[in-house]
Amino acid sequence: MRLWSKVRRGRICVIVVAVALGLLVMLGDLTVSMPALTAFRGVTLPISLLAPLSLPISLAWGLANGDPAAESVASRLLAWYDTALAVGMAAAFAAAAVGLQRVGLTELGVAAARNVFGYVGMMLMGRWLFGRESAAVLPVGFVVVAAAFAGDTIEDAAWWAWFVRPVQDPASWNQAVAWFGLGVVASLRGRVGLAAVI
Amino acid sequence: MRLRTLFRVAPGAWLAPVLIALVALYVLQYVTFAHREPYALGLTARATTVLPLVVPICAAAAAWEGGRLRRAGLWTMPFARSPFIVALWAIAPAVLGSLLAVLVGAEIVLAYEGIVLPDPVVMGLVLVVLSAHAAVGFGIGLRAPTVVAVPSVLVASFLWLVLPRAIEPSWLIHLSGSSIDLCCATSRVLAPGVVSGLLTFAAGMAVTTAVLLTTSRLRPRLGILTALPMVVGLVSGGALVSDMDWDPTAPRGGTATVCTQEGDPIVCVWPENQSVLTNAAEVAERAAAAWRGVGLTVPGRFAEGVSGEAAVHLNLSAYHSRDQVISAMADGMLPDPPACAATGEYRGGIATPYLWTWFVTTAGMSPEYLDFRFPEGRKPEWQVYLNAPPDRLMPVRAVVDSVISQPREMQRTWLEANLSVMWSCDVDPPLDPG
Repeated sequence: MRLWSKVRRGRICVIVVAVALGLLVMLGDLTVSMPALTAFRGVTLPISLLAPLSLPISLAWGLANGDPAAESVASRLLAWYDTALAVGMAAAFAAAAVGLQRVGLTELGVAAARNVFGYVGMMLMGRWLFGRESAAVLPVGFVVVAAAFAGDTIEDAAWWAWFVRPVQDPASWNQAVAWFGLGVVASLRGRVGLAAVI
Repeated sequence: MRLRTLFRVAPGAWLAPVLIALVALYVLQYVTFAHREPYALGLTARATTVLPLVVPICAAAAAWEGGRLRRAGLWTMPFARSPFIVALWAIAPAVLGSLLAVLVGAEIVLAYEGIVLPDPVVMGLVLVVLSAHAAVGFGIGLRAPTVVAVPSVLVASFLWLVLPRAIEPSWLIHLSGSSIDLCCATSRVLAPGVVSGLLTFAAGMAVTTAVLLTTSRLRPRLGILTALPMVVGLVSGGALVSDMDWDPTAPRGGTATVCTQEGDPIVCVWPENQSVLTNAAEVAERAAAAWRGVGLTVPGRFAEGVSGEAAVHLNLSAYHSRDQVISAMADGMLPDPPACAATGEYRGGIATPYLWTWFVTTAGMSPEYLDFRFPEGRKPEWQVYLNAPPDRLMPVRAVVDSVISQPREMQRTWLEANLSVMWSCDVDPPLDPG
C-alpha cells in the first residue's frame, strides 16, 4: 500500500489540491472575455474555474507511473485503489472548495467542486480511451475548445459547456456527474488505451 | 519523411484539417456580422482572433512530439544533426499546420473584400507566436513526462493568450500577441512597439527552448535557469510597450493617401477608400463654396490622415453614401474638444450639434438623412452624449433654420461666436441667433 502510494505520487496530489484551492481563493472572480468564435460575444470565463484542472493532470501523472506488466498480474485490486485515489482527491478538493465558499473566501467554491468532478471524470475516461500518456488531454482540450465555441455570456453559454454554466443550472451538474460516473466505471474496469486496442 | 508517415505520427499534421475547419467556421460567422473595410492589415489582423484556440493546440502538439522523442530515448543518444535542426523538423508540422489554419481564415475574410494577399507583417507575427509556443512546448515535452507536459502546455499557452486581457498592466496584451486582432481601422497601423515587444519576448522563449534542448535533466536550479530568458524577454519586451495601453495601433502616415489632381479643395483619401474619392471631391467643392460664401476660412485640402489647420481632417469609409461624406466633412470642420473636456463639464460642446447641422445643411445634406440624425420627438444624440440640462438646449433644427434664413454677415458672426466657445469648457455658447 505504501509502495503503491509512493508510485502514484499521492503526496504530490495532496500538494496540488492545496495549491489549486489557494489559486481558487487568490484568483477570486477574475474573468476573461473569450474571443467570440461562433457568437456575437464570447464566453466570460472565470479563471478560478480552471484551477481544478491541475488535479486531473497530477492524478494522470500518478496513475501513469508504475510497471504495467507487473501490475497486470498483481494480487491487489490496483484498479480499485487507483479509482479510490482519484475519487478521494476530487472529493477532498470539492469539500474544501465548498467550505471556502461557506466561510466567504471565494464565490466560486461550489462551481469549482462541480468542475473538479467533471474534470477528473473526463481524465479517467481519457485514460480508458486514449491511454495513460493522453489521459489529461481530454479535460484540458475540452475546456480550451469549449471556451472558444460556447458563445455569449455565462447565462447564455452553450448547454454543453457545463464548466462555465451557473451552478444553479441542473444540466451542468448532470453532465459533470455523468462524466465522473463514466470515468469511475471505466477506471474500475482496469484496462487503459481502448482506442489503441481497437 | 513520407507524407503518409507524417500524418500518422505527427499530431500537428493530422490536427491541421480540424483546425482549418474550426477557423473557417469562425471566420464565416465573422464575415456575416462584421462591418468591414477593404483594408488588408485590418482584415488579416481580425483573423488572428483565433490565436487563443490555435496556438495552445499547436504548442500541445509540439509537446507531444517532444514527448515522443523522449520516450524513444533519442535525445540521450549521440547526435548526427544539430538538436536545433531535429527540433525544427519535429515542430514544423504543428507550426505550419496552425499557420495554414490562420491563413485560410484570413483568406476567407480577405476574399469577401476582393483582396488576395494577407498583410505580411501580421502573418509574420502569427508565425513568430506559433513558433515560440511550439518551441517551448517541444522543449517541455522533451524534459517532462508527456502525461504532464501536453496538458500543462495546452493550458499554460491558453492562459498566456487570454489572461492579459483581464489583468494589469494592460500592455502585457501586446507581448502575448493577443492584441493584434484589435488592429486596425484604415487610419491606423500596427504600432512598431507592438512588433518589437512581441519579437523580444519571443526571443526570450527561443532562448528558453535552447536551454531545454541542450541540458540533460530538469532540476530545480535548472528550472530557474530555464525561466530566466523568458523573464528577461518579458522585462525588455515590456519596456518597449510600457507606455501603451491596450490599443496596439499608431496613426497611419498621411503620405499613403490618394488625392484628386485638380479642384478646390483637393481631397485625399486612403487607397482603400478610393471608391468614394470622386463623390467626396464633388461634395467637398460644393461644401467649401457654401461655407466660404458666408465668409468662413476653409482650407484648400480635405484629407484623411492629417491634422492641424492646413487641412480639414476626414474620416471616411469605402461604403459611405453622399450624405455620410458630407457628415464626415462637417465633423472635420469642428474643432477638437479642449483637454478640460475629458475631466469635467464641457459647456462649449453644447454648440456641436448646432454647428454640425449648419455645416451639413449648407453643404447640401438630404432632408431625409437630417431627419434620420434628428428624429422627431427624440433627443438629439449629442444631448444624450453631453448630458446637458434640457434648459440649456434649444431645438437644433429650428435654431439652424433660423440662422440660415439670416444675411450672410449674421451667419458668420453666429458661427464664429459659437466656434470660439468650443475651445472653452466653462462658457455657454450663444446659440440664440436673435
